[in-house]
Amino acid sequence: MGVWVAAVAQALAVLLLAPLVQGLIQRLKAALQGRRGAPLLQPYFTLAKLWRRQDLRPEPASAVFAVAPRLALGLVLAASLCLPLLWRPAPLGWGGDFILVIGLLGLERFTLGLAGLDTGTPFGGLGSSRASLVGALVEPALFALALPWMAVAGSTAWPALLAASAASAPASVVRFFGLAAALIVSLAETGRLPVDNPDTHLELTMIHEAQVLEYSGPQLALVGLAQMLKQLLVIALVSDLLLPWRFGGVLTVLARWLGLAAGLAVAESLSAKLRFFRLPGYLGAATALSSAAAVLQVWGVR
Amino acid sequence: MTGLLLGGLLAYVCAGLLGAAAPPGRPAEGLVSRLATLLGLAGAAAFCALAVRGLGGAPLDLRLALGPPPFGLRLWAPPLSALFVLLISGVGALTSVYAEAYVGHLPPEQRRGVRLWTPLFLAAMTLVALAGDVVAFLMAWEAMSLTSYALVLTDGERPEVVRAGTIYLLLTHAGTLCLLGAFLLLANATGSMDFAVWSQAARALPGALRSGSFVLLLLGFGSKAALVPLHVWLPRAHPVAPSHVSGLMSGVMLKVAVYGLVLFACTILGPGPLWWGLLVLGLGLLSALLGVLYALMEHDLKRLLAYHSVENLGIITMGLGVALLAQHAHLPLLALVALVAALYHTINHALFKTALFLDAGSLQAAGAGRNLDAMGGLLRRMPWTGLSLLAAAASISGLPPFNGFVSEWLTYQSLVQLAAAGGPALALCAFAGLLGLALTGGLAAACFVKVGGLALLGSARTAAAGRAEEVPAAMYGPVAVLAGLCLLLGLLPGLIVPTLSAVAGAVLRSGAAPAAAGGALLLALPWGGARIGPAAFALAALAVCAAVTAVLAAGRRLRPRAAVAVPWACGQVLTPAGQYSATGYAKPFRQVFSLIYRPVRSVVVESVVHPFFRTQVRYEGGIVPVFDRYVYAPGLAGLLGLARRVRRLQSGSLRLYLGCILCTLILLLAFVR
Repeated sequence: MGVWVAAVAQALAVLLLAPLVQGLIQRLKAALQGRRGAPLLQPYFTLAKLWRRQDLRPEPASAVFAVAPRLALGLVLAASLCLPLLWRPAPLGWGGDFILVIGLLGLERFTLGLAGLDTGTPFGGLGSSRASLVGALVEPALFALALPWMAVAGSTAWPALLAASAASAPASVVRFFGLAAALIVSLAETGRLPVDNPDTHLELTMIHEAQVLEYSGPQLALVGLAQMLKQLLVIALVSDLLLPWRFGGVLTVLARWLGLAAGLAVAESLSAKLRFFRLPGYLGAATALSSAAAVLQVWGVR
Repeated sequence: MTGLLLGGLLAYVCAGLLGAAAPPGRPAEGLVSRLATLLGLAGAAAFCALAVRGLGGAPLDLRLALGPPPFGLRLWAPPLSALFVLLISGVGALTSVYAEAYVGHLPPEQRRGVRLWTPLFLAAMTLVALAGDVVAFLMAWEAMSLTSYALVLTDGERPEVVRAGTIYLLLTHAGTLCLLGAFLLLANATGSMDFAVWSQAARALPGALRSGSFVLLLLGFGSKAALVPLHVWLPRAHPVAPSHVSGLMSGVMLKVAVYGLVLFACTILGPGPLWWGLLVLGLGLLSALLGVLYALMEHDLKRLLAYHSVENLGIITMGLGVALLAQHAHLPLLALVALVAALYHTINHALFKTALFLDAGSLQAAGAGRNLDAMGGLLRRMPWTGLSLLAAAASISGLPPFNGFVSEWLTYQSLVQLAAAGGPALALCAFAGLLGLALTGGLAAACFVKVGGLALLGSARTAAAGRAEEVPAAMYGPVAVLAGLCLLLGLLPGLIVPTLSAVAGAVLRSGAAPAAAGGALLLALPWGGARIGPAAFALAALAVCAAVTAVLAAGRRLRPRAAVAVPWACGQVLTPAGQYSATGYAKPFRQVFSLIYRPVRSVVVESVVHPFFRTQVRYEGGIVPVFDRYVYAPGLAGLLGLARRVRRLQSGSLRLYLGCILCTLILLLAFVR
């Protein structure tokens, strides 16, 4: 019973935190671009506004379109439950590992891909097609992030991966390569420049936004919340797997997350959108960096 | 036990004969064919009972003497055979129920053949799994090939069907030839034709002989299992056969080849040198990646599914490769888990691939055809078929909480353990396997978003798709059962893992402790490490969905009523043809993986008087079939050239023939004393 109470508590905590991280990134990006930017709490205001708006459904859409946003949110939240985010051990850590997190995120991508095609519009299909390609290339890159630790620990369970990461030197080549790969993967997974542009409203350049173009009102709020939650999940994942200097305490964890979020904002501000067909090279570089880290780790060059 | 065996066989044969006797188009047809189906179900039930007893520790062992000692047949059911018999009979029974309704949609002149050959095909596959010596095995293997060939030729009036059938027959017989070669080598070296004797004696044989027979067996079973580059028959033969036959061939017959590979590579030839495992792992990885890449380019649903069979057989083979590597490196627990992964994926693939092919048949029977670009919006018109298709699509993409995820998880775990325990060199191979598997999973998910989205969602692209009606319950029922099993084996992996590890332990003869399963809900590994319980996460995700739905309903008063709107199309009028097409969806993949696809495009402009006055612009795009063009075409040309040269011997001159016979005789007398 206690497990499920902890699960609900952690789920509510990350749900409340996710928009704050988004607000922080937006605020920092505005500052870097020399603008004042929206208030820190703007994502909460936007969600509240959308919550009161009308829910419009495109004419050809079926039940898949209606169910997809809540399922996506459910899947990302479920994935967050097997990560030791604020509770250690993780609430559902007894039944989940790194591969299950990737699988749940994969199902979320699958659901939103179907929803994009369900709109019966060219933009939905365009977004689904592009998101599928990026997803197919991100999956090995995301998997490769944990490869060095898997090879040492012989396990994909979170405690084993974290222990292997902690046992590695704070400033090693392996960690450096891993962090470089993690930067690329998190920019891609959170739909940020140079992979996707979260602020664009030009249909032809969109990936995620084109996929969910037809959502409105509360459904759009759910999609947005799921996306922010996924962003927090990726940040937490990178923080746990690759950042050195682990100290206990919730405050330290939050500080690490906010540090990584700030890193994302800076990296996004420094990069320009890549041509879509240059992405395989960019994402392949992440996989290659992680694989190199794993090879170095196995061969004892640390 | 003997009674079950003979009764089951008799029921299958009678079902075939009775089915063939059903007069197509007459009132009696329905009754007679239903009786035949019931007989077939009785046969399948008999074999299921036999298999369950075999798994429970009462194995069948039957010898039929046909003369003095070497002449006879042996049928046996060790745990591995029992597992495959259960798979063949279970999936076969569900398919038979489906076929009863489905065959009615075929033209009358095709029905007799289908009803005759389907039960015989099932019987032949069962006998392959039960065969305990070379003669029985080859007879059943050949029967399986010929009955499936007859079923592929169901629509044998069309030239492309005949061509597909011929290619299938050629490749399958080339494979049988390789098997025969290996069997002759082994029989000669051990002095017996009995598999039980082989499994004791073959380990002591010289290394070169074992490796030679291993390569021949890999070629033989690989051609049946459609491993790259021996896969070319599969995407041709599967689409032209009736859908339930495609389901049986893809879901079950390919598994019989897996059975042969496991039996010979693990049990009979035993631990081999390092390169056996590397070769099998490499072939599996290549098949998985190329299978899914070629599947992405297909618009024909059944061809697409056929390429996914190549992919999934690749994943199964990867598990087998890790098992061989682990056997070589003396890691018995790892070998056990890798083999369990391969067997689990074998069962899973049988379930979801059969479901997918049967769904494709239902779509075809409902008039929606096979071309993804001519479908759309079918989920609303055919909810049962659509839902089972979506569930099977998630399963084949390896997504939790469906069964494909669990078996791929086990494969991942065995590769991770190989990287950790197998030393630095094997770790590199394991990394390649892990990343390749992750890429395969991502691409498969992308491909099934295409299938689900284009076939079931959006609006109908053609009038025929807009008129499609749900098929009768006798057709969607069996598919729903298969999809339900996919979900069950994904939620409760502990249900069958103990059985599978007992089978794998018997195959490997390692005496390793069975893979630990922490209750039906939780899957754990024998060396500790990671555990998964997908059911908990499915429950959590569903709870969130329910909570969100409740909150949405509670806040209904806050906002205006939900409404249906015209979607955004830049202000233009949106037509169904304006939706994304299969080609458009796959275009980015074609561009990114152009090194493999070698895409070609041609634009032909027709004009009158002057190029300015265009009448027609024709655009064609496609990919180069690399294996057909660069492997098989030169091979075929070489073969024909050789035949042309050999033909000079056949000049019609009697003296030349007599001379040849004399030379052969002298050579034989000189070398074989």
